[in-house]
Amino acid sequence: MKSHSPLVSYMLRMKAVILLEYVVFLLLSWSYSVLGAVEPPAHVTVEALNTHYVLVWDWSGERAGNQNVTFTAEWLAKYKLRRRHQDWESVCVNVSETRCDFTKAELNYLGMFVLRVRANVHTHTQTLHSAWVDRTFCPDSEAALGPPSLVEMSAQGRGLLEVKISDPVTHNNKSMKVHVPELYYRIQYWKLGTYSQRPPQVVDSVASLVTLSELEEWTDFCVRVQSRYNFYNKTSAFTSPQCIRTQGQTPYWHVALLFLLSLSGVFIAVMLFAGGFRYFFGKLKSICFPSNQLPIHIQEYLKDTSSDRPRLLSPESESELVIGRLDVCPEVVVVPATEETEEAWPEPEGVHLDRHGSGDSGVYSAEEASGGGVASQEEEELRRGEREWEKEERKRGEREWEKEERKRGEREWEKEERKRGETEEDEGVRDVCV
Amino acid sequence: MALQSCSWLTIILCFAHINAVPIKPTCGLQRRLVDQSYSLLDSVGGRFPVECLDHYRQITFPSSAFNTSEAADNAGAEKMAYETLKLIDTLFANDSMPTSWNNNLENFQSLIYRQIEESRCIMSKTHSSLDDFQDRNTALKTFFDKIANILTEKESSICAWEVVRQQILSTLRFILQSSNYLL
Repeated sequence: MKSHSPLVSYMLRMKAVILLEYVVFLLLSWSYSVLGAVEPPAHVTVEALNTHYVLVWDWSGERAGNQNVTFTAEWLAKYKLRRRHQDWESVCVNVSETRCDFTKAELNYLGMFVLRVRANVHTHTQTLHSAWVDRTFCPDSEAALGPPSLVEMSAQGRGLLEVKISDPVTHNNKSMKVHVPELYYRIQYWKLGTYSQRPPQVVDSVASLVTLSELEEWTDFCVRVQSRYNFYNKTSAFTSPQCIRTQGQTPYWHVALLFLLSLSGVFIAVMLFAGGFRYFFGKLKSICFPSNQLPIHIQEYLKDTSSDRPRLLSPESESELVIGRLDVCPEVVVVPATEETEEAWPEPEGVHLDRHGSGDSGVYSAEEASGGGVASQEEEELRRGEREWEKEERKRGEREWEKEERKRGEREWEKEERKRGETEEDEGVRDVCV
Repeated sequence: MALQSCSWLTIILCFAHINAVPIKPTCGLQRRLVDQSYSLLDSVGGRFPVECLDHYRQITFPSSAFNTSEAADNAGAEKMAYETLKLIDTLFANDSMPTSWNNNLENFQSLIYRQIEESRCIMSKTHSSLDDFQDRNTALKTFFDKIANILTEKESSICAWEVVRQQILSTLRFILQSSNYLL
């Protein structure tokens, strides 16, 4: 008996397996052609991005003129497949395009599902269906990751660039980090124009805010970002590059120029202000305190005018006249004779006495106030002073009384003259000036 | 010649058929998925109902099945964790769960099934010959048989399912806390 070597036996087994598979393959293809069933969809794949899932297929069957070809697509959680009763959920029923959007089915991101599709040929009489073509789908392991939804850049001072990354979003505009917590970003950055010359620098970050530091100042840098998930080796496409110029330290000549400009600006402003102030002050001065004086005769006129012009200050009020007591005497007709003046004496005396009395009383009261113990010599002197003062007062009073009497006499005489004139006018022709 | 080319073609087609499940770099259970399974089962319903306290029976947990040795080899314990998931899947296979439990139950079952499908490679990991795999397996199976008994005894009543739910939750919690092989 020839002992078969392991290799030979292995080869024999392989051949048997291959033959068996070949037979099965032939049988299947024969069954499809003989039974005349509808051609099933082919190349069934799931195009998935974030949480958008689209089932895509081809169909190469023959379409006759009177035939209408549509497709039906369904899904089921895979653990339910072994049950007798399977409650498949339809997503696309009798659609004509060779794709079906499963996004609205809201498949659980971590679950495992079976998606299936078949072709329906509608004729006048009946509808023929193809066999179902299944496709297992697990979003967590198979769905592609989208790039960040937004990348914003800002220059933050000396050679610093801040990159703000917004997460890729689900179809509900929620962050993909809900489904993929270990999502992180890879940031590529390079100086504008050098991308082809040397490979860009790379920074990996879990955080959404990344600061690129120690960059060259005042140069343009370009940045692009992709999202990544390591466990299933998921990498998204890169965002389109964005370029920005870095800021830096202000050059010294810049600072000096700015300083000089501000200095001269302030200087001019101050000068203008001073000049303007001076001008307006001069104007004000010329209005309130004019250098031109009024003519002398007008000035004198203003000073000497009688009391019918209203004035705030009048020269008469400067000298005060203090009268202790004033008695109003009835009118006495002036007769230019010395006898009557003697009769008139007692009145002024009376006035005098009163005055004297008031004066004395004033003096006495002062004396009393000071105290009783005054020396007799002082009293005599006081009395002498009083008497002199009395004499002067009497004389003054006499003079004033004479003036008043004279004025009164003149006024009376004028009145009489007027009366006489009037009577004469009554008799004669009167010239009336209107 | 024609047969050889055909054979190569079929071999290639075979491999293409097997690779329906996507390739992942490392073989193992993911911690975040076991954690999510726990969260989903926890949220199918509210707290343990007071009226079911009488039905609650403490079943000794086979912690020996999950023992991890000090040597780096943890394939035995990892396989037990994988087996646990399979047994949970079988337990929930019949559709007798309370209708009051919400949609998270479907997501839970879907996730358990997905982990089983994805991590099949665990069972083909080599573990040390010193490891008493059979003893571990027997202990685990006995535990799950007892849990299944609760369901059959109480005819899959709501209280029975609540008790089962608590047992499964404590099992998952144990795996999460004591393991060092979860990815």
